[in-house]
Amino acid sequence: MTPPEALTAHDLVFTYRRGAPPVVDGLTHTFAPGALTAVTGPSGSGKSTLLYVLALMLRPTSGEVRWHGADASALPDAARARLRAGHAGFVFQDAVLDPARTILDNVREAALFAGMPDDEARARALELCERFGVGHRVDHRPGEISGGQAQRVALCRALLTGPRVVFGDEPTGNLDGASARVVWDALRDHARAGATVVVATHDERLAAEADARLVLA
Amino acid sequence: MSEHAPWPGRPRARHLVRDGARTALVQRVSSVAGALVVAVVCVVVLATAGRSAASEHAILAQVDSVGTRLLTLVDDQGTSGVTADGVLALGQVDAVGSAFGLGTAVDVRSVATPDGGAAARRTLVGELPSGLTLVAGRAPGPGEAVVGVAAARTLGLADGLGAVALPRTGAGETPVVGVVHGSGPLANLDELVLAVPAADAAPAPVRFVYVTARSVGDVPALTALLPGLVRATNPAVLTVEAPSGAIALREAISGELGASSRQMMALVLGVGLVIVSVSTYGAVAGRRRDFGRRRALGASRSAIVVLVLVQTAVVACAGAVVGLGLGLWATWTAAGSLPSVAFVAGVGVLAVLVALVGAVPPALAAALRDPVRILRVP
Repeated sequence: MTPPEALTAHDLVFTYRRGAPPVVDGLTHTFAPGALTAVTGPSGSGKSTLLYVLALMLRPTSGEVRWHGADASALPDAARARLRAGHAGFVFQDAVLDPARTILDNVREAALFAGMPDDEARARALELCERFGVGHRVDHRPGEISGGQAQRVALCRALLTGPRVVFGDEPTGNLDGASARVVWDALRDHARAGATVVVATHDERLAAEADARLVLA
Repeated sequence: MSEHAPWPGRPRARHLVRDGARTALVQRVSSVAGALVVAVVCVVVLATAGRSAASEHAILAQVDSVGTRLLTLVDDQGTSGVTADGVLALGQVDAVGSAFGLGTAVDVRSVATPDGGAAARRTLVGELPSGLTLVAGRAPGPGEAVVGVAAARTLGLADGLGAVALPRTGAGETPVVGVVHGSGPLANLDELVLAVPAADAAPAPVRFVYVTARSVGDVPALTALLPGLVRATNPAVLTVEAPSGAIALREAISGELGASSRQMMALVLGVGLVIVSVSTYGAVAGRRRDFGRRRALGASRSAIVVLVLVQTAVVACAGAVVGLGLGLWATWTAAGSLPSVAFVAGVGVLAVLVALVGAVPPALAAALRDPVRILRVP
């Protein structure tokens, strides 16, 4: 039986253009809470696309993405955005930080759309920055920190709201071994705390440490 | 995982506004460019249409000063039955700014120089009109009088003080306590002695009623209704003198200058709208990854639109303040006069609205852009 908090894909098909071969073709899978699922496969196998469909940023051509038992993929844009803001976090391959804002403001950006109170967002952002070793950089701009630090800032942003679902699109792809380990361990710890974590990765060594694995052909 | 999650996933309006304002501050290059466009629009509008409006304002003020709002009710025969009560009742009419009446003329001479010149004394009903300036002494109380500057000379009242009375008999002696000077359509009052009736004086007929309408627009209606409003028992003998020529001139000036002002303003605002739209497109295109990231973080399309519009509003308001300041300075320097406050405020509001309307297409483009295409690393 599917756990009520699970994220599920049911007979999921996604095609970028009508008539083109599907990038995701009939996938049915349950991403259990409390587990980090590694999505692996060769380039072009649809790992990132699957992630964006699961994160409700792309609407499936057919099939369903179910969040907490409900068909979330059929919802209108505003409702899908609310689900993302209130329940989900996202770590991209690039940190994708706003170069004009401080590190602290970049981390707090997730709180804006979640509707999280200011004081709580600030306290939590500072706590996460300390935890991930960028606490001394909160007043700096992204251009003044390293790539590894930037990805840790992105991780802080993804975890700020304490999301129940976290997606990672090659979050360690641009990092050295030590930084990759920090990011991976943080995602795994978040899963251990009860969240559903789905990470697309090329890194076989890290994928082998995942709680579950979905291999795309 | 936080014990507080999930959050409502709905940004608070004030947070969106604050974020838009902060974005305007940190995106300095695009904000300065946007503010500059709005400022230039304001300066050009004020330097062209504003200058016309200032000229129109000055010319109309000059036209109005010669009495476009002044109506005169005349009772040539003294049989209309208009009394002080009827004149005072006009003060209750909304369209009437002020009203006063003059009674029948009686020749008087100075008590000090009974063989000197004579001047006409008329009973003054109501307050001293605002078009009369007290140049010496004080305003008269009941049973007292003031004299016009010409009448003072005729009567030989050098300092304007003294007393006047009927010739030969010396009856009806009235103390004179001040000198007044009439301008514009009230200049003829300079020839008169204006006496306020004593509290116990018998009611006397009123021969002239001067009425100042609150606005030029009220003049036609007042012209038609005035004989009835003064409670005349025989209104047929009354004639109303209205400044129809001055009103026609006023409308002609207002129409001509107003039309050219509006055309120029529409042209400048239209050009401004296009420039704001293009520059906002450029700014939005340069922030594609920002918007993609925000969509991934849970911003709805409407939130993206709001953020762009708030940013534009902040920038436009700053530009409008600077532009209006510079434009007013330029207009004053070039024309020596300023447009009305309402015109200036209207230009500011229009400039901000134009910027907001111009920002709508780029805001929609930002909101509708596929975030996945932006965020994916090839």
